[in-house]
Amino acid sequence: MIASIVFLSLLTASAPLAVPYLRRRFGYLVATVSLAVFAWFLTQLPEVAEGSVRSEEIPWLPTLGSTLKFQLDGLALVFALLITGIGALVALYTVGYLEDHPRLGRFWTALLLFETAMLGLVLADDVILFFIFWELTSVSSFFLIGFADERPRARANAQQALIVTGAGGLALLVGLLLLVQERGSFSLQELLAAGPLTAANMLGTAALLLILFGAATKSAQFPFHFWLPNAMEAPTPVSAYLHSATMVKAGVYLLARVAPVFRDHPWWQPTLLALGITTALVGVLLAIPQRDLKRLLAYSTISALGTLVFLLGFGTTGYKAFSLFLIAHALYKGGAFLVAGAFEHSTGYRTLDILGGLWKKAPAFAAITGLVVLAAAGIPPTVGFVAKETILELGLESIPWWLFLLLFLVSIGQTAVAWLLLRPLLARPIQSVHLHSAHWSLLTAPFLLGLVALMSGVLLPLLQPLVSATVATLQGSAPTPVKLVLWHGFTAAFAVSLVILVSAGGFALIWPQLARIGDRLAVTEPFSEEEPRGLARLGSERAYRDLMTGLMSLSSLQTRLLQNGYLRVYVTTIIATVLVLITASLIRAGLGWAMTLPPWTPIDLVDGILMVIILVSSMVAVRATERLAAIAALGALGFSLALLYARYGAPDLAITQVLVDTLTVVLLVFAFYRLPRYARLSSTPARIRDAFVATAFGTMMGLFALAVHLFRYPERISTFFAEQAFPAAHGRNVVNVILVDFRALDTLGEITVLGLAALGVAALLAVGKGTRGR
Amino acid sequence: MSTLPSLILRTAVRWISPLLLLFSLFLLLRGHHEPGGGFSGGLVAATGFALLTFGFSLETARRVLRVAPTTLVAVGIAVALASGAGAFLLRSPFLTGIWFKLPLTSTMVIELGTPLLFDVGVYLTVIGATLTMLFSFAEE
Repeated sequence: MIASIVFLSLLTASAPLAVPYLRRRFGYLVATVSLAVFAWFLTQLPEVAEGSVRSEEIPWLPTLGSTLKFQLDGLALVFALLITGIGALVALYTVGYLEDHPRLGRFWTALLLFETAMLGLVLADDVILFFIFWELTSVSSFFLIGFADERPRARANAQQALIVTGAGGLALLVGLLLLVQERGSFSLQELLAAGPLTAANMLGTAALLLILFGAATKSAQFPFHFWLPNAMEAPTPVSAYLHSATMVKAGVYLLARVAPVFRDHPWWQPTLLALGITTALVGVLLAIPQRDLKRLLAYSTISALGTLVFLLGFGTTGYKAFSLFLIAHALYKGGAFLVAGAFEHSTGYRTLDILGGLWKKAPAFAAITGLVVLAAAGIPPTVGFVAKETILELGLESIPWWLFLLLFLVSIGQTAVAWLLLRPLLARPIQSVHLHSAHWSLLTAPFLLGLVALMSGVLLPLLQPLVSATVATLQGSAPTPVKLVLWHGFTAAFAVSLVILVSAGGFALIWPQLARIGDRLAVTEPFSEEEPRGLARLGSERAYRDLMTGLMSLSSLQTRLLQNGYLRVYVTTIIATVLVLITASLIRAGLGWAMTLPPWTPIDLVDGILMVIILVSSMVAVRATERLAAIAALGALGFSLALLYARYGAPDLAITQVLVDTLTVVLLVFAFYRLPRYARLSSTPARIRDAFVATAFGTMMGLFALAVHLFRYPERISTFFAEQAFPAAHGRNVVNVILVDFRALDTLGEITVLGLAALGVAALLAVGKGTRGR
Repeated sequence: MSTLPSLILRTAVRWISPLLLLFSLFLLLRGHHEPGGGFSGGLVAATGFALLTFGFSLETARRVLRVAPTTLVAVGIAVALASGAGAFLLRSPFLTGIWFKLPLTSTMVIELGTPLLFDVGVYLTVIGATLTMLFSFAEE
């Protein structure tokens, strides 16, 4: 299990190096590796179906209680199979879709990063680990939506998706940590095992709301749904994989995962039912009028995600329908996206009103589309049919009639979307489109997805262990075989199903009229930033736009106040802040005047000389009228300080001080060429004020040093370091041992910051050159 | 830099720069037991390249370095990360030091460990970061 994640991460890391050589053939490699991982997960199915949970663990932050723990149960397995299986087919499809695109390396790096992160997300048992993978999927999605970065809309939409899902991610982190606080464990398994939370628990309620927010943004629930249609700027394989089959289901996965904790909370069920049905309804209403095939499918994905949340809201009775619909939707919607991409790739169009009559020109193509439509519309014997029947049965049995009516409408809408996919084949073509031949993989991938959807309906017993294992995880019980039947006979559900198929067909026939209504309401076009019209004036995307505008003006306000570009203002701000904070904590710690000073010791001659040099050179640096004199004075100051360090037993500090001073002088010499003439810029009052701030800061630091000298923690960490440096860390230089062993994580953070700072300097100087018209 | 550097400086740099680089390696390797380490070693090495830039030209310094300084930053951080990730193979927490003994002769045994590799990462990152800044300042 961990090995599969390690394999995929190694493949991710090798992508930038290998793609320039293998080019499109790299896709075959990715497909093979994904398929191998898929096969491994498939071999785990019999064990998981019997209720055994496989877990692997590596210590990570043992003192905090967080570990690298991965766990494979029914819910994780069904997602892992979808991620790797569809991942393999999408990789194959990309070979024909992107061909030898110049930025193929970047594409594969981001896509593989996603596959690794998504697999990690569903396998992770540790809350922190889960969150890291969650964020990684958002980040890789950002790079994939913005893949065509020459288009402003792709960049803007990538940013929008990142901000919406990122905001949800932050809320999710807080929610999860509250849950950890409440339950005292980082392990999801242990969090869930402790039983349900009740409404009386305020912390639990807050956690519920925050986790719901996180899941709703990720899974594009109303009113955060708007980012998903905009994400269609990504290449089609990405839309099929991330934005329909897997990533957007992460939120649903999370809700399914935490269901055992919140199931008995009075807010859980009503919120999920309301959120789910609203999203499902809004999704289909916005889907049907679309002209762009990808936006059509995106809105219908929103609707399907809403349905999944709705089914989760049912609690125990809905879990079977949930599992079936999860599998069926991933198969048929992934297939539908791939078919839409193949239309676009071979005709150059992906709009419904232009395409038509393709069945005569490309019969193989038409047959594959037909196969996908069978699964999408839920026609026997596909798994789509089984899923829809189960949902309808559930609806007929256990919900009020008005809720069933809404579910019925959603179902009609989703089926109508499936019928609409037939329009490019059967409708009368408006203009003749040229069809150029497509790479075999463009047809194979959707064909295989359609075939699996068909066969899993026919060979239903094979699906049964997977579904029962998933249901068992959701219920938190031992697996009991779930009964799956393809043909129930002529039941009420089947009658409803027929009505749905026929009325959906009607909607598909009058689609041109519906699209015109959509035009009038301005829902068929992407949101226009300048002048929103029609329904867009009321939509949540407008609220998002206004929020962003507000944030921008707030940030420019604070930038004008605090970051006005004058170094002296920055330095004053930083010094004043540190001054206030440290003085306040000194006073709070009660170390003000009560402290007893250490006894006076006579200063020896060398120290005295060094101190005089330090004092004089700092005066010279302040009063200097030439830049070179100021630099020389600062250099003298630095070297004298280094000597003081060396005399008081800190040779490492001394060496570093000398080297940093040397390099600072070197950098200043280079900077000389760029700096304006040395001038006295400050007025006398400003100088007096600066002198006051500087003196106050110096005094505070002096007092602080004295206070540190007096105030000791009960157990002294430095003694531990000194004692353990050689026996535990094999080093006699305690400073170095602290840096590279005891506190290596801090050092790792520091060198990362150092590298980023260097990149920042290089970028700033490069920008300066650009504006000077070089 | 457009000004012509002096002959004395050039001749001195020709000898001092390699010595500084050697000294930086010395500092890096002795760091675990004596004053020194990756940070100071990296700074000394960067000074060597700074002298090359003064004595000869930016192009010379770049040519001697062979790789872009930003690549050094990336490699350095990667090496430090890898040194920590090695502990996972032994099922220990991230960044746990792993030590093994390398017998040179029957009496002389060298102890090597992943913290040294970590220090090499620090060393490379410091050189890379310092030179990234230095070279962009020196560019004109």
